[in-house]
Amino acid sequence: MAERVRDVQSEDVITDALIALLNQYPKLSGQTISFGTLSEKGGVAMFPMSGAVIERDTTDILGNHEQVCMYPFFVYYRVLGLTENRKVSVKEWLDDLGRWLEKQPITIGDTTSVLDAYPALSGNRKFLTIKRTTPASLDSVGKGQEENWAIRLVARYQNNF
Amino acid sequence: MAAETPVTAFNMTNTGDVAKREAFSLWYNDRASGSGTLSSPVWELVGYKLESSDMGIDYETDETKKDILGNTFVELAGPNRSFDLSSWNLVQGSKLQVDCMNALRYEKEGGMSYLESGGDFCLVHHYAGTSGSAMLAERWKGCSMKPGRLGGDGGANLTTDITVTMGGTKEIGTAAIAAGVMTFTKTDAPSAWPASLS
Repeated sequence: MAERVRDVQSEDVITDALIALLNQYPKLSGQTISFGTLSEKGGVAMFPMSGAVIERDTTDILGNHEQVCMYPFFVYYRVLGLTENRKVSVKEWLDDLGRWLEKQPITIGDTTSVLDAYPALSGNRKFLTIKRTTPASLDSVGKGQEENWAIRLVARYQNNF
Repeated sequence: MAAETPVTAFNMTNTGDVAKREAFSLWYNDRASGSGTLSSPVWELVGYKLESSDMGIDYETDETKKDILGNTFVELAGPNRSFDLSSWNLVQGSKLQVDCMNALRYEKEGGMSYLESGGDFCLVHHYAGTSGSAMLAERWKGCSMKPGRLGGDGGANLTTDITVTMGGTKEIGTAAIAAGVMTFTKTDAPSAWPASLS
């Protein structure tokens, strides 16, 4: 299989934008989603999987490029000592994060919240979609019995130059 | 105005160099929705977000015949030149697309007439002549524009097909392009097929 070409120049731009977007999730309740770091006790963090890769690169008859790229990532929710109800709650929290990033409405108490637009990106880039590739599930259990719940997503963006 | 001297080679630097697709461009004088006129054209470069396009050259007849002495000869007629702008994304800023939409909308009010012969187009051969300042060009002042489709797949971009057929008065000349602005300058054709090319 041919090796996929990476969009190295855009990686930092997409990472920064995704971290900023994730931290606008309406169900955060004071939590912060960090990048690539989780304490042993718990927390929520985003991890990129393979970096940004170019999915499609087309050139128009004037020589302009339009790239569609994807940036796969996952969000980890680490927590200790979960009861069965709390496990359900963590899974729903992550699934709702996925729905919200897909611009589906989510319910918080009596209100409904929808992500209207993805954040603007620098240069001639723009987000196209952010979609879940898996539902939230228990990924692993650590030595200290901390549970790592994860949801995998992929952001697609367009880059014109 | 002196008669033009035919070029004897393309303008690429080295023998064996090839021309890129963008070295052949189509320009539209935005007379309908823009500020261009026939005497003072404003040229729009056609093809942003269009991935593939060819100018077809169609000879109405292309017949090989033999006379009674056994000699073979070929008759050509035409040629008609048509630009195929298929699966073209609808893009903000395209006067050509806006004019086609308006012409269809107001077909009985003169729109059809505009589609039949209202197009003022210029072909620029960036690969021939003096690069940037005096590239070979041809202007056609009575082209037809035939929108053929508008649509696309769900979830994809809205695309259109437009066929531009060169027609009306043809002028030969040169084109200069600076900061994205194209200027066409008419030249005189040689009075006869140049002996140097015979």
